[in-house]
Parts: sequence; C-alpha cells; structure tokens
Amino acid sequence: MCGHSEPRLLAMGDTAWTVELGAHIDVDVNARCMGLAQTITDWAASGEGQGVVDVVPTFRSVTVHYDPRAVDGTQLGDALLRMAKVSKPLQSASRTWRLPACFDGEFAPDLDAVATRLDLDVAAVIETFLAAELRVHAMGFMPGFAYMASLPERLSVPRLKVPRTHVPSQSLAIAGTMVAVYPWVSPGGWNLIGHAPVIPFSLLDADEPALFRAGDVVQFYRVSADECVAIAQEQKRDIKARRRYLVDASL
Amino acid sequence: MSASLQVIDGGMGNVLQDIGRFGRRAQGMPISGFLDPVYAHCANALVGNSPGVVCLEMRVLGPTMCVTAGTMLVAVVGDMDGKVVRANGQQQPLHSWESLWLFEGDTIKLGVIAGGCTYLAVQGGFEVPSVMDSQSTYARLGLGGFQGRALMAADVLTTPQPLSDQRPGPLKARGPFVHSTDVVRIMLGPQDDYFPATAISQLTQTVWTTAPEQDRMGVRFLGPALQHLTPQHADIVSDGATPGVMQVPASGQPIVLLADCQTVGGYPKIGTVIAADLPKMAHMPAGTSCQFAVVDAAQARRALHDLDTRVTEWLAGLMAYAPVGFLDERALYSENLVSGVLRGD
Repeated sequence: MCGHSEPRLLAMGDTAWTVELGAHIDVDVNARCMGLAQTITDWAASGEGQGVVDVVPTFRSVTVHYDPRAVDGTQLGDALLRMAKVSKPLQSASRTWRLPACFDGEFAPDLDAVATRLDLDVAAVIETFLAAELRVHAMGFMPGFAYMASLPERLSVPRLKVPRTHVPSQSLAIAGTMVAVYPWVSPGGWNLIGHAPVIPFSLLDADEPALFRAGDVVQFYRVSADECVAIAQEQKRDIKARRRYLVDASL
Repeated sequence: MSASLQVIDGGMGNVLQDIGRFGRRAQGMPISGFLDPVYAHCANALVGNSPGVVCLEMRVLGPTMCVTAGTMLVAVVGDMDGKVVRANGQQQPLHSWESLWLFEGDTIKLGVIAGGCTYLAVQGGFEVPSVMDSQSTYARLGLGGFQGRALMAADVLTTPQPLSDQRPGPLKARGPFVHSTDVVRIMLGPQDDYFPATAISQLTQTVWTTAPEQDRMGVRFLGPALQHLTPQHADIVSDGATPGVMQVPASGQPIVLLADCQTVGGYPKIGTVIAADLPKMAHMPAGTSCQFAVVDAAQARRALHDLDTRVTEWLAGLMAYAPVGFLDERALYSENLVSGVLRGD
C-alpha cells in the first residue's frame, strides 16, 4: 500500500492546523483526506469540537481553521491528530455528476495544439477525455474552482508557457492530469479544450452556490453548441436546474 | 427611515467590510473582512456599534461624501486628515478617534490615508445586503459590500436613522490605539522544513521593507531572496492557506497573504503571522520596514490575550464629549432632559 504515511500535524500560525496525510497527489491519500474532513466536520457539528471555523480538504491534507479565542490550539491539534490516525477513507463518492461539454470551434482554442502535442487526432483526445472518471480532489484558486483528477497520462500536457490574461468563464481546461472548469473570467495557464455549460458557481443558488464539493465524481459527455445554448437558458430560468446533472451514486 | 450619504468623489479603493465571510472556505470562498479588526472595533465602539458591524475601509485616499438626508453619528479611526464642511459652509477638521454628528447638507472630505488602513463607522452600520452571511466586499468577484466594488461618485450609502436615545452621542478616545509595526511575530510552518536553516535566520535577521505591490490579497516584502532547500522545494502540492501565512515563491521574496487571499496555495509557506500581529499588516504601506520574530504557540496565545487586554483598556477610556466649535443640538437637548436645566417653573 502506498501513500499510508503517518499523519503529520503542521501549524499554520495560531488560527489553523494542516493535517497532512501524504506528500503527493494520490487517489487513496485524497480519499483519506475526504474521510478525515468529514469526521472533523461531524465532530465540530456535534458541538464536541469547539472553535472550528472552516474545514478545507485538499489533495493530500486537511486544513482546519479555528478561533484561537474559543479553543486552545494545542488541544485542538492533539484531537485532530487522534482523528487522523483512526479516520477511514471516504470509500465511495458521495455524489456523481454527468456533465455536458462542448468541444466545438471557438470553445476549444487549445484542442488542436493539445492533440498535436500528444500525437493524437482530436477525436481520440475527446474520446479519451470523455472516458475518464474524474474526482474532485480539492476546491480553491477561486470560489467554485474544482481541481479534478486524474486524466490518463496519455492526455497529460503542461500548462501554457505564457498564461492567458483572459480565460472565458466555464472554459473546460486541462493541465497535467488535472481538469477544471473556470467558474469566472480570470487569468489562467491551463489548456482550454472545451466549454462546460453547467454553471460552477452561482449566488442565485443561495443554499449551495458552488456546484462541486471535494470528493465528487465527475464524468463529461459531449453536446453541441446549440445544446449549450439550451442548457444556459434552462439555468437562466432556474439555476437549480443544474442539479439534474447529478446522478445518484448508487445507480 | 434611513439617513443617506451620497458619494461626491469615490477616492481610491474604498470598500465596505465587516468581520468576514466564514464557513465557505471549503468551496474556495475567501473570508474577506476587516484587514484590521481592532481598528474597526474601535471605530464601531465610538458610534455605539458592536465590534463586527460593517464599516468603510480606506487604505489610500478616502471619499468625499455629502449627507443628503437624515442625521448620523460617524467616527473615523486611523491616521488620516479629513474635514467636515457643514451645511452653512462652516469648516472644521475631522479628527480621528472621536465621533461626531453629521446633519443633512454636511459634507465630509476624507483625505489621504497615511497609516495604511482607516475605518469610517456610522451608528447602525451601512444598509447593504448580506451575501453568504456577510456584508464584506470581495471585489475580485464583485460580491458583497456596496455592489461588490469600491465606492464611486454618485453612489448613495444609507444607514438606519438613529431613533433610540439609548445609543450614545459623540465619544472621544483618550488617544489612538497604536499598533507597533517594527516587529511582527510569526510561528514557523507549515512548510518551514522546505527551507535550510540559513533561510530561517535570514528571515528573522533581515530588516524587511514592504513593496509597492500590495492589496487586500497580500503584501510582498523586499529583502534578500530566501533560498529553498532545492529548486524543487519552491513548489508544493497546493494545500490550505490563510490570512497571515507567508508564502515564498521561487523568487525568494516572501508574500504575507491577507483577508482576500485564496483558500489554497501552491507555494511553500515558511511561517505564519500570529493572530495578535495580523492587524499590523494593514498598516504597512510601501516602504515600511519591519523585522519578523519567531514565537511558539504559548507566546502567540499570550500575545493575543495581551492584545485583547489593550483593546479592553482602550475601550474603557472612551468619554462622552461635546464637539468643540460646533453646537451639538442633539447632545444639548438630551443633556437638558437628563439634568433638568430647562424647567418650566
């Protein structure tokens, strides 16, 4: 078994602990992070864990932000380490998304270059991409931004040498074996291979503005540009329509 | 019934902030909020608000605003020259660290901010919608605060009209609350093991200077380039970040992240400014020099306790006063009611 190193407790000042469960990006390590984050969240929600402000799982660690006026940081750290030692990996995905993606023309400015670099034809790149079952390893960079892993190695391309200053929102992008959908217009260095019409972050969906949660499984299917327009309109009428792309994990 | 404040000149980068937007970092949402919660607390106390009420945060050049309706008690906290032009044309300086009444037709001109971060509080706070449980502006995404952005000419801020006589009138502090920025205390980590011992000693022995590039996301420090253990140690698998954490990218120039920082980051973090000293980072405009001192968890805890004690003492020093050179009709009126000077017999 790889990746089962002893948990490490790292202080981030006197307001946060990072509990590190591994050194690298790894599916098993990430599943343990998700399990631990869930345990800590439940512990805080039960009232037993006082002073916990935010629990943030990432690729290989969990950061727990706390209020140093409400809890003794050292005692909290001890409790987190105890939980890390016994916490179980989150085995099955809590949720699975089947999300539309469009690879047509202007939506995919880097698709040809990616195919050339990989020595594949465009159809093969798309086919391989659509076959991949991705998992959200971490949220961050900007609100609603999901780092999804892992593409097969044969689709791995480096970031652009010169990052774009303007990446359109909802661009479907790849870098290394990671996939992301940009929730907002922003600068960015990932390769843009398509457009994902389901909105990754919307304040109109007040209960849960972010579409993704760390731990979600994501698979894409191909749609046309016309279908993208229809999907956009459907969400404009009712943002909660985006939930219909959620597939029951048990199916 | 609200009182209104119309912006004549927006100044630069002036945004509404409150205590921050917590509980959403797992979705990648920064906390935002006051860069200096201590000064915001002081400003709020001067107008009788609780500590976390939404204030106008000013860091470069304050706005000019005119009261277009109603009456409001306001206070400025920080190092700034401002003035009030009363409706009748009479001018008076706007002193920081005390509150005063503004009436319809009065104009406040908030000038250049010398100390890096200044707050304007108004009794009752500003009436802006709460977005994800906070009124803080997160300008990068255009959410929270006043339309998600810095103030501009013609904006109208509204505030609840103070109706209750229970709220205090003008208050004055015995003196400013002083943040000493010469020494900023940090705890090592979370990735201090990505650096050789020489980098750690350079970090603590150098007199650092703040760079011109600073905003609500972070402040960069100029000094010697801090070496990583190896060039490969200049990148990590992204992990959690927080305001106060000090990232060292490949350039070796440390950056301390602030309230609007992203929730995860891919650079090694050599140390983290302790909670007691994080407010100091709001008062280090370009060219400010400081040293970093390493403390442990117990020292950080004592430092936070000491800060809270100093704030409590400062609050205890607030006194009611009648503003000089200006007839405070409301204060006189309420004084008379209490003391019974105006008697009918």
